[in-house]
Amino acid sequence: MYFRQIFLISCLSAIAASVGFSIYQWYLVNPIIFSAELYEIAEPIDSGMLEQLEPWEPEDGIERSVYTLLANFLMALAYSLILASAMVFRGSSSTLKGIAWGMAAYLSVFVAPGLGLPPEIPGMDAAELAQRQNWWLLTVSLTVIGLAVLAFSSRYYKGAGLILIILPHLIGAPTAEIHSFNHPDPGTIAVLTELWHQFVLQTSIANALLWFIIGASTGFLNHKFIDAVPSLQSSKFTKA
Amino acid sequence: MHTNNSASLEHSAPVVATKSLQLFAAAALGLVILFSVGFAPMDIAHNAAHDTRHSVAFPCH
Repeated sequence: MYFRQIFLISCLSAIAASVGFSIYQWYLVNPIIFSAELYEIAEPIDSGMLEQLEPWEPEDGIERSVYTLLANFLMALAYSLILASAMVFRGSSSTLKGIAWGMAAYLSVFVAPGLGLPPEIPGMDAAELAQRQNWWLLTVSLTVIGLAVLAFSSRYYKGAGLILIILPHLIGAPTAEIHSFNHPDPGTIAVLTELWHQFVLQTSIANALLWFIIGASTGFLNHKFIDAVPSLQSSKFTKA
Repeated sequence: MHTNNSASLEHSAPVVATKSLQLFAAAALGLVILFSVGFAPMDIAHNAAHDTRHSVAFPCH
C-alpha cells in the first residue's frame, strides 16, 4: 500500500512541479540556453576528423520542447519519490513540513553543488565530465547526510553534520584550467559571461520554485493520503 | 474469536515489516529515474534531456 500511495502522490506532485518549472524555464531559462548555443554553433569546428555520425537529437522546436517537458516531469517524479519516501519514513507530514523538506532538498541538490560547480550554459569550458559528476554526487550525498544529522540527531552530533556539509568544499570542486569561454572574440566572451550570470540567477529561482512545489504538494498529499488513511496506520492499532 | 485474533496478528506483522521495504523501493525507483534522466552517458539520453540537465545544473557535456 505504501508504495502505491507514494507513487501516486509523487505523480501528482510531479505534474504540479513540472508544469510550474517548465513554464518558468520556457520563458526565462531556455532563451538563455538557446542564445548561448548560437555562439557555440558559430565556433569553428575542429574538423581534421572525418565527419562522424551525429547521434540522434530532437529537432529544435516542438520536438525539443516535448522532450524537455518529459524530462522535467521525470526529474520531478524522481525527486518527489525520494522526498515522499523520506518524509513518510520520518513520520507524519504536513504542507509546512513539506516546504521545509523541499528547501532542505534545494540546498542539498542545487545550492551546495552549485557553490563549487555553478550552473553552466552550453559552450563553457569545464573540467572532465566524470570528475564533475563524482564531485556532484559526493557533495549532494554529504550535504543530505549532514542536514539530516543537523535536523534529527542529538545535540552532541550536530557538529559532525556541519563538518559533513563543509567537507566537499574543502576538497574542492574539479575546475578547468581556464574556467571560461573558449571563444576567440573578447566581445563575444563578454556577451556570454553576461548570459551566464543571468543563467545562474534564473536557474536558482527556477529550482527554488521546483522544490517549493514538490515540497508543499508532497507534504500536503502525504498528509491526506497516507497519514489520514486508517488502513495504512492499522499496524499501530493492532499492536496497541 | 481466537482465530480472529491470530489472523489480525498475522496481518499486522507484515505491514510493519514491509513499510520500510516499500519506502525503500519507492526511493530506489526515484534514484533510478534520476540517474537515467540526469546522468546516463548515452548521447540519446543526453540530447533528449539536454535542456533539463542544464536547467537543474547537473554536470553536462
